[in-house]
Amino acid sequence: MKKTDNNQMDLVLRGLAKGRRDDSSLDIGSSFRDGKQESSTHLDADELNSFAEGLVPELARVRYVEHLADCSNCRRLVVSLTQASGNLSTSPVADKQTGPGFWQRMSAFLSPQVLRYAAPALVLTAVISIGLLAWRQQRNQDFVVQHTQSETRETNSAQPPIALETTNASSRETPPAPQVTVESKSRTDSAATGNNNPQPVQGEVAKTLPDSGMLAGAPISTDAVPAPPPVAVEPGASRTQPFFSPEPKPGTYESAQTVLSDKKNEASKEEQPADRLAQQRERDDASFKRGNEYEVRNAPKVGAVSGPRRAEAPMSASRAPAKGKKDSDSDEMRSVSGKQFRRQGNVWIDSNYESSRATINVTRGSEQFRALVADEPGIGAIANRLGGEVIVVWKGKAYRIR
Amino acid sequence: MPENEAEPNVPRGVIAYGAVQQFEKSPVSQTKEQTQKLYSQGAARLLARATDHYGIAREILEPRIKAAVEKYILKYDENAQTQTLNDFIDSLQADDLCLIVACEQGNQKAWGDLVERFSVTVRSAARSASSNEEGAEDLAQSIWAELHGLRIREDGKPAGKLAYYSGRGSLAGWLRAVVAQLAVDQHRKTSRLVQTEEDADFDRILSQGHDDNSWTSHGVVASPEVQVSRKFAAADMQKALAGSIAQLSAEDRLLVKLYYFEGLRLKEAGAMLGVHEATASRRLTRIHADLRRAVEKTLIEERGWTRTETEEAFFDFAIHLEGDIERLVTSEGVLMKKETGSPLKSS
Repeated sequence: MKKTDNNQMDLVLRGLAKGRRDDSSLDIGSSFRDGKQESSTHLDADELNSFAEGLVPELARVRYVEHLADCSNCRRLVVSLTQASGNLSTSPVADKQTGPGFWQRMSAFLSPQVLRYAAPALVLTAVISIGLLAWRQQRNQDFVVQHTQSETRETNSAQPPIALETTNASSRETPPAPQVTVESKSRTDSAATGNNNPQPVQGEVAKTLPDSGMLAGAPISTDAVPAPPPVAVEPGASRTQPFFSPEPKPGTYESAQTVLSDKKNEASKEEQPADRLAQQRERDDASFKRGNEYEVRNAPKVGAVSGPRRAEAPMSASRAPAKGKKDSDSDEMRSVSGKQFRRQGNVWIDSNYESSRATINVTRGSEQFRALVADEPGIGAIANRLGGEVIVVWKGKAYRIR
Repeated sequence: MPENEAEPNVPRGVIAYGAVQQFEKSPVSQTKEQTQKLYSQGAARLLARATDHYGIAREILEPRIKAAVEKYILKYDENAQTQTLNDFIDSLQADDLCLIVACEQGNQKAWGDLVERFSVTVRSAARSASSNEEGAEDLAQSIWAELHGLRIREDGKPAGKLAYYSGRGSLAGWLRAVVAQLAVDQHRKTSRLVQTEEDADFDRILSQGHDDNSWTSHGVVASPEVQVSRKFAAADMQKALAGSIAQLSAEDRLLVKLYYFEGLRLKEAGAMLGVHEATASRRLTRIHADLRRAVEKTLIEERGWTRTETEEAFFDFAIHLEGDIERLVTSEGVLMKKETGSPLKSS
């Protein structure tokens, strides 16, 4: 109803009241005697007073209201009594309709009318929440896998590039893995695009390696990577891209190099003799795969994986196309002081070393290293001949020299 | 008088509530003995609550309590719970009821206390109900006579109005109500004999205003045909409005009467109905809408009006009555004189 209609009705009622002073029930016919005689028609003094003071029980009050609505005499008396008692000037009594009680509100909240909308909404919210939770958990696992695999690829791609020879001497404090990645990636990009500026690539690599800090603390370090042979620059270096990065466009230089590398790896794989070293590598592969699975299952422990596992992670993370690359990496064998060493990634590993064996980590130049060399000069000779990280088995103990 | 004289077997303040509890869950449809026991125990508790019970025996008080319970509870709910009855009894005004019962029993000390404590109240109520001081004094004097009772009952005691005080409300309020009722009765007796000049003026204004509701007295003088048409239209509108008001619920009807006819403010009307002013305002807005719909429906369906005619009639009626109000306000002096002379005027 419009406000003007309300105002009109208000004016009509006011006019009617002023004009007539009361409605048709202006029936001043009966006199006020006492309650016993007139209770059927009018309220007696006791009832009027009780109503004016608000002390009438509810059921009686309903009846009194009905009478007062139609009896102007009693109504005027009640009004005068109420005004005289001061009940009108004081704040009104507790509003019966100010609001429902707690249980009324609760029952209203749980009423079918509300629940018919709330229940589907709650179910939908629960489903969405569960789905979101499951998706996030799955995503976390993917991150662990991606990180491990990208780390693996970083290690794979850490074939000492030429550019690294000039920088590794002064980059001891720098986390090696991202740097290697940048170098190799930038090299790849520059090879593909002809742009020699690696800066824009660095950010991209940083994005693909969100947790490069783990790599910084990883036992695999390129700090002491010696000057690698020129063959370290392999066509497979183009795989330093994270596996989730866009595939290179067909026909590019990079994809061509990848195809060539794969073919070369296949060939080298066929030529590789099934000797003891190969068996050892297979054992290592199996153990590293187990380690990789372990890492996936226990993501927080990734950084705590022991050195050999991390060092050999490239093998575990390699897939079918990358297997040729892994085999080509392991082709390089050297013999120093009567011991056979094969190179895996950036690590020279004694052929007698078993991955299950615990290693003693020794850092080059440290007091411990000097003491070890002093006690065992043979280890010092091996460490000098083989740059970078070396795992050597000496007198029943495995030393990891970094 | 010793306190335990009225209740010799039950020490004051140690009324046997355990005995009461056995009735608490049972309806009142219990045996007569149980009902009587309930009243008896209620009377005992009331005497224990009274500051001064004037030596009233419990048996004397029981009929008063029983009458009050039946008047306010059992009359509307025969199956009321015992707990409800006990709560009602325990909420009675113990001191006032004991004072009145003692006066009814002829206790002079109680009469002295009654006059001493409530003479000011009676005089004030009489002044409010009377047009002059002399009439107020006469009214106050007659009140005491009415309270004491000029007639003698069969038991030899005066049949005064004291017998009708239940103790539910305050004694002061009850005395004011008695004074007001007595003033109304006296006013009617005199008004039947003589119609004062003021009454004649008032009635003339009312009747004139009522006739003028045909909105013929304002603005340009309409033709006789138009005046007759408007007069019939106004009559239809008033009948429809009166019928619509009569169809409202009792609470809504009382709110309309209190606000429009008794001139109370919304806050006061709401207080009388036990609701907040805002609630009363919302309720009044809803009533406007209900009345508007009901009046329109009546005029259209029963009187054959069109909707446009109904809306125009409301508009014209409102404008016309606005003028009426202004005119009535200008003649407020006459109205005030009339209300001053009325025994029902507000204090």
